[in-house]
Amino acid sequence: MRRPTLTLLLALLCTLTARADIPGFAPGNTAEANGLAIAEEADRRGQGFGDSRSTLTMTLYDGRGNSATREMSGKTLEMPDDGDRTLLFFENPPDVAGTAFLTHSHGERDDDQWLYLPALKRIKRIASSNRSGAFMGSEFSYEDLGNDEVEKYDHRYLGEADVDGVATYQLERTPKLRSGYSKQIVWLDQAELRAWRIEYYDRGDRLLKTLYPRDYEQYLERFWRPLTMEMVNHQNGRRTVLEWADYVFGLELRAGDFERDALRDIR
Amino acid sequence: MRCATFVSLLVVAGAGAASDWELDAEVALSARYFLQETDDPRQDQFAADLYGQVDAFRDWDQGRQRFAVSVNARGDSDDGERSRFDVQEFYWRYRWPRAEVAVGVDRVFWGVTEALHLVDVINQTDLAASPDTEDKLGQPMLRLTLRPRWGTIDAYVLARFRERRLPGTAGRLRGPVEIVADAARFESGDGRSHVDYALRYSHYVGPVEFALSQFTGTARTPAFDLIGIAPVPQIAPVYFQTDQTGLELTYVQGNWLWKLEAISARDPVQRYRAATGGFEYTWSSVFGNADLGLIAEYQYDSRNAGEVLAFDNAGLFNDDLVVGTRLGLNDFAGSEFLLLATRDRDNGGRVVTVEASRRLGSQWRLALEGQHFSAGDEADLLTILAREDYWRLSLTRYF
Repeated sequence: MRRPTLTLLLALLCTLTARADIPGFAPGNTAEANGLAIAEEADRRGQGFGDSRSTLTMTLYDGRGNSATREMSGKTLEMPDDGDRTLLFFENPPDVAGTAFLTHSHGERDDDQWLYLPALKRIKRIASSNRSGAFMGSEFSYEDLGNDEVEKYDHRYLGEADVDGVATYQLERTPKLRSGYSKQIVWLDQAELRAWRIEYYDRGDRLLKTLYPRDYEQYLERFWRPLTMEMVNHQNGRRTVLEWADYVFGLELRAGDFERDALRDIR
Repeated sequence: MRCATFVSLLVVAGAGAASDWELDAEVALSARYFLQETDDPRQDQFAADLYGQVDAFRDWDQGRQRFAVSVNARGDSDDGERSRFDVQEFYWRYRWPRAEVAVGVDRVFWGVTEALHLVDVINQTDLAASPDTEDKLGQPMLRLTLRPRWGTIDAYVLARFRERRLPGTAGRLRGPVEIVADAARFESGDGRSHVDYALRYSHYVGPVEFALSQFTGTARTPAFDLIGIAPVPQIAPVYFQTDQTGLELTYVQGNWLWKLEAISARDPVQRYRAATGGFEYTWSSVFGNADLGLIAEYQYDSRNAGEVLAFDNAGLFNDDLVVGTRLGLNDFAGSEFLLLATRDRDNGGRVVTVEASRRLGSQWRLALEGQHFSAGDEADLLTILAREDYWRLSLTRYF
């Protein structure tokens, strides 16, 4: 009786510590090929969630003991042959309540973005270069919150690394499009290829920010979402914490719910 | 007994429904100070006003149906025309996946440019509330929206005409003339009951967005009749019939946002054209986290002032260049700053607008707004606003 239990336990342990099976990833390949292979596999694993909805609390810390809180809710729709569509709706502070932000992210071209201003009932197109601008006064840029489409970067595999006791793959990715960064260093855990840490380097190649995703939860028995993300800005001493809650998947949202004109109905 | 049951059922249903209402409100206290006195003893340099607004809406039937209400009211220390109540929204809407119908009072914004809104024609402007033409009055309407894959079509039946609110006798920003809004005259025999129609088709393809619109009915912008001369010239609004075809165009490329609005419309003597267009260029992450925008727009109008009536303000922005800057500090206080300067290339007349605001704590916002007017020559319509430069400070509490 002991033997099968042990086998089961071993099997379980193997699963837990197993490396992700990554097609195209092999020690002999070039760093570029391996980097792309890992990025594509991580992307593939994130695909198929359909749609989701969640609430988001954002806390800004200025490094001098002051903090401020923003609350919003959002929904995301996965598009079959394009990047995801995201609708963010601001709820707090009350002077910006009702403001909404719609993004159609694309692979190799700039995202389409709109802002809805409730006081005038006006929908405004936004220049997508605002990608590198600060999101609602936080240390996150629009770019950081956008979808990490594989096509947006050149990838390079840097090797294996240990991050707080977690075995990870370390990648360097260089933005192909207009970006606020010269490069990013990404650590993905070997078991599930979830981002464990991301370093952002400014255009002068100095370390600007570090992102710490935490509290990963699995949904629909497949998709991992970090419920906390902390962004630390090393150059200005400020940091921002994002906390997600109330994730719901399978809402059967339609592309029409994410068209520009859906903004005027949002309130 | 049966009646009591019914009433209690209603109360229970009402309480249940009440919990689904989304409510927002704001209260603002403002002070306006005009830098110069006028010759009219009925006018003051200083005025204060209290403004309140309540918005509520409720969705049901899985979001297919909505009922929305938005009302506002202002009490002004001087100007009775600024002390008014308005229903901005009071509508019911039903939505299908690719269509929508709405009945009631609502606000609709058309347009893309920053300094001048040419195409925007559904709602009447409240010029008594603010000279920036961005305060609007609720418009009773029936709206049908269709959303085929190739765009959005909105059709409107605008049930009742709303007159422009204009500064009253004790108010400022009317210049050395007295506006007698009660003596308004209409080209159409139906007067305020004239039913107007509007149709708009809009779509976007990648970086290009466009809209085509058609409006037929009573023009929102009045011309003015001279109806008296003592103690100061008295003028009354005249609302002509018009039909207006509008075009809106936006093109986004990197940091550039290109915009164009153009109209072709009719007044009693002619068909005229007007256009405004330009760009907004945005730098992100300047001075740390701030966003800095540069705005430049040109304004064209084929009309000359006074072609229809002596006091018509047509063609005020006939050959004008607007430059401006928008700064968003992206700080905790959400500090924002906007500067717009309009200059008439013909006569040198100028309008300069400054707006700045920041949050105080999490529920208050402090805003400062100023405008300066200077006429180019004696014939310039801006002459009547030459003594109306002002600063306005307001503190708003949001709930």
